[in-house]
Amino acid sequence: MKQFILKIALFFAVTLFMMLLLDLAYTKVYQTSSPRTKIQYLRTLKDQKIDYIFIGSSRVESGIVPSIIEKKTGKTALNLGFQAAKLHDIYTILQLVQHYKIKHERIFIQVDYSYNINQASTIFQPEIIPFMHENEIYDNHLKFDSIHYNQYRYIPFFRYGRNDLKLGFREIGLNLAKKKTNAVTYKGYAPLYGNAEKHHFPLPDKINESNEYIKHIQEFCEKNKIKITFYTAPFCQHTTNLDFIAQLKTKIPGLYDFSRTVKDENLFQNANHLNDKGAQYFTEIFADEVLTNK
Amino acid sequence: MLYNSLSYLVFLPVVFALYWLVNTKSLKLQNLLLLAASYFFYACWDWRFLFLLVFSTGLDYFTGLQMHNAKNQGHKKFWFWLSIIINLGFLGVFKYYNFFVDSFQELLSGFGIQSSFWTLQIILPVGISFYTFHGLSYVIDIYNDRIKPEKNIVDYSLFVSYFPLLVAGPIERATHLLPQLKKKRHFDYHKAMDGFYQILWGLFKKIVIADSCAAYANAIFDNYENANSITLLLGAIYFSFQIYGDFSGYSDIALGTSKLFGIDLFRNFNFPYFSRDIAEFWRRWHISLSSWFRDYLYIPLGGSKGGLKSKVRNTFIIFLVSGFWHGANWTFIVWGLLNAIYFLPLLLTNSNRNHLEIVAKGKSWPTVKEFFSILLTFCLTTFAWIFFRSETLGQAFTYIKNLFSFNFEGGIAYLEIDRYSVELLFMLFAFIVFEWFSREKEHPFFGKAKDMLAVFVILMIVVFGVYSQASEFIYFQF
Repeated sequence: MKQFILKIALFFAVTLFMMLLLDLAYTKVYQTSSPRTKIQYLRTLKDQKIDYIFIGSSRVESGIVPSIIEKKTGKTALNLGFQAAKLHDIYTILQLVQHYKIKHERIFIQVDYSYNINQASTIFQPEIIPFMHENEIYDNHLKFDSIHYNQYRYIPFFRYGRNDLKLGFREIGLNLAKKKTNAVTYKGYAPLYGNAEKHHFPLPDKINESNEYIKHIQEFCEKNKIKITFYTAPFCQHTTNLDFIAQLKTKIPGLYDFSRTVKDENLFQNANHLNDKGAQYFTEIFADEVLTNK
Repeated sequence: MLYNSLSYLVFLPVVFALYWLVNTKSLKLQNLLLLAASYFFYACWDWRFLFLLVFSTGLDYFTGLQMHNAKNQGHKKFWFWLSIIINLGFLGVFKYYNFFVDSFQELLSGFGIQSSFWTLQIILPVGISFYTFHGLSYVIDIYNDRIKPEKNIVDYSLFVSYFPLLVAGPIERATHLLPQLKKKRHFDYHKAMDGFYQILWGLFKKIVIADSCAAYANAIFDNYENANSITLLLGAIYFSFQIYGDFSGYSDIALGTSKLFGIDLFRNFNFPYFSRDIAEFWRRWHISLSSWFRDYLYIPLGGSKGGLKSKVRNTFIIFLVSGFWHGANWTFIVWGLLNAIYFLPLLLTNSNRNHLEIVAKGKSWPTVKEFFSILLTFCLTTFAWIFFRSETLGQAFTYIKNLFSFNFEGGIAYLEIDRYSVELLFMLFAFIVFEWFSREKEHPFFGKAKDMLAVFVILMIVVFGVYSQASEFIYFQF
């Protein structure tokens, strides 16, 4: 029995040791390889200047084309939209921009029905996991967001195993092979193609009294003298309860409302996402109205 | 509680420690502890169904004793049929009631008669098909005077509810398991290590092979209408390996776990994908179920003793029942029927017992003929698995129609899981080679380098394991 227990303990120790080594190796790869995700890209921009930064959900990621902004304004732009990002995620991204001392002229934050949501995005989470031990911003986000926070923090390699589809062996291989993604190629813009069927996307009937992360964002920007502008990206005309945006404007004074700006259905990939053509069209309008004051 | 969960990683060492360190002196305590652990294990799924398990156990225990003590054949028959009807009644209600009601309604609507019979909101109790079959074999064996009833209720309950086999087999027999439960177990280092290696191999098959294949197979089966022929072919192959890795992985963990407690269970898989014909496949796949149907259905129906007509009839019956055992869906019945059709030529040519030994025994490589026989058998079983995996017959037929449309437009597909459809083939090829060279053993851990191999397999489990979508074992639903 003693011999058995010793041997199993040995296997257990070897397993833990391997997990520790793998954790260190994976983290090193994500920290040092050329960026494939937006967070990796953001880290490489430390101390640089980006004039206009756009933060928000996939409605930013697939709706704002930085190259058009740059062409129209002669200034640099970056799209930091993340799929399914909510205001809590936006607050984290904002803090990271500040943490990495990225100089900027103005930050644009897209807000819509996300005002009614207090949770964080599950899609954004894997991108920050490799860096969770680096600073409190990542750590706090996961502490709030993940039910596996303690396992991520204290069990080596658990964070990579649990997120194997996004951070596993395959992604490590692609990092080592320096395979590029749109995160860098299009400065964060991820075009959508096609024109899906009509969707009757409903916005909420009522707006929440408040959103704690909007307050955090506003306070943070005030404290750090960050110029921010809130806006709402276009919705397809089949969207119901668009009056929600009117209510949102009462909560966020100065909000630029583009919710009804794009009328042509062919410019939407689905009810609330512009396709590539639509994104180009909308970015032109945005630049004219907000940045160049035409 | 899943075998591939953290809770099982805690449960197993605790039971193991209590079993060997506390209860080494008394057989009664050993069995009582295993029974308590088994009931706890089962209650972790849904404690309400524990009552059903206890009732089913009590019923078979009681009717077994009554049959043995019956004064005449009439009384014996009464208790026998009482047990059979109640056991199958439970199975029928929980597993098949809605299927029959839906099918009957569809049949009536085919004649233009609209009906609305009640269907029930029923949760299928996990493992019901398995523990019911345990009980049935016990009752049938007593009725046929093959065994005497077990008088000790704890030992009998443990035979039915022993946690390594409770939820998905192997389906044990009283003649094999009960004698082991009547003897005090002593710790055997080699047996325990063998169990540990087998658990490791089972985990590899489940977490690395089955769950990886599941991600690809699901992505393909969920979009079968738009996929080209290459993608659909890959989807079917991935499902073949998913179900093999899943179920044989489960069985390895069950057998390995049991070895830790000094108890041997029936071997359930013996490298079925190296079979040279369908008959051999069924001698190597889910062996405990195949042999159950052979002993308790095929032979009582007359087996192969009658003429060719009765042999064919009996073969079709057991395959259809086997299909229906898997689930209340026409897809399983067609799957069983297909296997019966595959079996038919072997039966007619009397060549269904040609390959009793593992292929290329004592050799490194198969002959060309053996290789192509294996390939053909794999293609046939993979084709049948399409029905097993599909949710409806319509889905299965469309899948097959598109598969044989020879549409290669788009080439290698990029799946919704952000993977190319062919990527997994490399891993599967390595897995097949690995299995090939260990096909004469129960698992690949043998020889002097087995500890090194164990470390390598642990590394593979850590690096290539799928943890984001930890899934239940497929056979838990049956």
